[in-house]
Amino acid sequence: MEDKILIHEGGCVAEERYADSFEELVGELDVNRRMLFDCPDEIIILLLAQFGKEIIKDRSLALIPGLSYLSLWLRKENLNAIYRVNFRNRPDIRYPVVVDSRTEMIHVPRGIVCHWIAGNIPLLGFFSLVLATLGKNASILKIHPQIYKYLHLLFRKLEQVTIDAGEVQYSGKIITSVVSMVSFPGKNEDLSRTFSLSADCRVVYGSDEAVQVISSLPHKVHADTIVYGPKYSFAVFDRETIESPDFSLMLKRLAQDIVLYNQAACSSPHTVFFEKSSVTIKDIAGRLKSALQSLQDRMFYPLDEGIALSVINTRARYLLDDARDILTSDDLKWTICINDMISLEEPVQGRCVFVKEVPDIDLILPLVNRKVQTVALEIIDNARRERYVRELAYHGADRAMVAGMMHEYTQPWDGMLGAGRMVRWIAVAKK
Amino acid sequence: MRLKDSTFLMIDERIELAISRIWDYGVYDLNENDREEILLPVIRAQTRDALVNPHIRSFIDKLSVNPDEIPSLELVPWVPVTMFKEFDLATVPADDIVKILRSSGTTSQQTSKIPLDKVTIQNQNRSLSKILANYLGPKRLTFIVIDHPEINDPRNEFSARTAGVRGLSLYARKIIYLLKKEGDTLTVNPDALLEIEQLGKNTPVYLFGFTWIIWSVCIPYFRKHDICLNLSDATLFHGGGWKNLHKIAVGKDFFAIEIQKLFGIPSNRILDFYGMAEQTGIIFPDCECGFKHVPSCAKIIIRNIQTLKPCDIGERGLIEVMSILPVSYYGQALLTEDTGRIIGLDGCHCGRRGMFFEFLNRVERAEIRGCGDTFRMDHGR
Repeated sequence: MEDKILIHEGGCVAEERYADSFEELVGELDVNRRMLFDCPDEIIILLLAQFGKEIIKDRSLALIPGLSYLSLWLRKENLNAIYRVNFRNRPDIRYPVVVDSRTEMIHVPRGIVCHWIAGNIPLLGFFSLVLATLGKNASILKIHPQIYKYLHLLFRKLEQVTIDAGEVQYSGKIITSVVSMVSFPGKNEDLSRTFSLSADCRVVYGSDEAVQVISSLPHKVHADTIVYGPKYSFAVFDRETIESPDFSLMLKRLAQDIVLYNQAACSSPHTVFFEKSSVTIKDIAGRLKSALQSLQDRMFYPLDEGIALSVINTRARYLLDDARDILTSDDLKWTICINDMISLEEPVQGRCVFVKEVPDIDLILPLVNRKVQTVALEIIDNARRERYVRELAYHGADRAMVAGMMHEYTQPWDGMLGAGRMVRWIAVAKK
Repeated sequence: MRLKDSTFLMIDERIELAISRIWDYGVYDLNENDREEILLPVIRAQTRDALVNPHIRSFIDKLSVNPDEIPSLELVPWVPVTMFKEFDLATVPADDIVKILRSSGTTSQQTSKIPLDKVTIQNQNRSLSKILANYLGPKRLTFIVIDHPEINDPRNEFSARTAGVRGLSLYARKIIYLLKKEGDTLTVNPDALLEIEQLGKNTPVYLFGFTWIIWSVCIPYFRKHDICLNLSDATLFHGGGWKNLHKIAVGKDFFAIEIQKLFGIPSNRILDFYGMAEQTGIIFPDCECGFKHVPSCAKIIIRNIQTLKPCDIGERGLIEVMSILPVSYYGQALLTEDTGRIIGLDGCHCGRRGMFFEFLNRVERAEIRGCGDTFRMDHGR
């Protein structure tokens, strides 16, 4: 990649161009964002929801990984819920939020949100953009050039979306005109610094090293920084669940969680703990194998070659070690490593999961720390589940989900209400 | 070709005898069908014998493979070559081990340990001699090592460079080390250079060096001091370090042009070779047409990196190297982290028979990992 900013075609940019600074682009976005600011909040949601409906019908977009989930996530009800939890109001309510008898508050956009998008999840940038857009911000997405092909198609589709509200027709261009995608070498300190200084809010996704470097870049004093750093996810099944008739169904849902995004997401499970029960761990692994085998071929995307090698080597380690057991597909579709160490295994990714039997699921709790994001929790007894969630949260976990829901892009995420962090709250005295 | 003796490799026949007689078939004279017929019974027996190693037994048992019933070479259980860094894969009693090769390779800090007994060493040496003779002719020659003498010091660690030097020196009448160490830096040794210049004009020599070292140490020195050798009867074997050369946009052709200019070696005798410490005894030099051929004692399978199935001709995949040479460790089927592709199954214009292939690159470690890239959790029982 050249030591220049590549401003991709799409969003507010008509033609791909190279630049040395972000000044011009920021100026353009700043002008355009007024139109978004004046657009009613519920219209933005309706446009996004309409877009969600249309993308799933468009065959030219079918190859975008995660498209069906994006469509589902853009349902009007879901967007309304995200809006409500972040902005404490319904989108169609014009009244301010009451603070007390003398004060109210309203939210306004922060301005330009700069997103550092990691390349592991192709549509991550789009999810991040929607959160910024709900707060009526303009966005610059720094993307890996490899994911441009997906985002570009989506932006082109979004700008074609229209909705009629009374006598007024609104177009998706209201949203796309305040978005731009850029690529530049992150190692170029000057470009990274100027990008950071362009932001009224910084949203950073990435590995520990990446977020440390980006977080330490100079930034505007008023700019907030939202960090979605490296996270680890796992699953827990208690004895009662394992012995319940629904257990196989839950394993099937877990299989989907394992396979989605080639296990490269922070919400991907790497270790699965099963409490000791009448079903042996070998039997459970066999049932998980059946669940993985039952998934459709189209869910399995080719693995990055480096990750494929890691899977091959992990398999060999388990095959050569007579104290451990393993189940594998003939190809690299899935790998189930079985051992009895009470530990969170280092992620291999590439649909390679470690399953373990534990005498008591409480033994897992000391392993949890702030690096843990999602725990798929399958505990039948409500009281036990509630207590367990509190303990997980106390130790540092961000999300207690169930199998099949691990990747649902919920609010809050990583312990934060992301869209709410991208707005300013203005205090207004009541008359 | 027709097999010289159809009863040559009976399953019950001693493996050692089978290995010693493999060269009766020539070095590069087997087609793939004959290779399958000849090697499969030997490798079946070797795999069965390897079950004395608990790791190999675990490996084979978990794959539900009966060594005696392996239907084809493609289905011989392969072990990733990096496992020598983590497991003792010896298949003979510890008392029989006379040497442990320790190879750090070029891209990892961990060391592979390859246990060798006398028989394996003999097999490897014989194989190397046969392969080199095929490329250099029957006479022993002067060997110019483009490295420093300590690289071959038995007290030092056995690196990929050491393996190359030691292996190729089997064919040497006399060895000249062209480089020397000054502190931690490698440079050309002027005395060695003088000795080379004083060799008779038509003295046949062969040279070996690590590609990156030749490029980064030797060539700049030759350019700086206006040195041009005239080794018109020489053969250069070189290998390793291509990743660094590709970074500075130096390809095989440009490398050969520079070597020809400065060493006087004809371009068709500048032979890039592929090999590894775990399969010492087998090297794959380029033929005159630029391809790599498989000696009779070995087989190459290129595996699709997603399906692990053998690739079709021309399809890029991981290189698996099979060999009947090792008897002291399980080296019958080793999957490398290198990629290559089959060029053809027979009929290379150089005249060597059987499958020929090309090495492409070493697989890069995963780059894009993002928010799922968690560091070690520091937890455990």
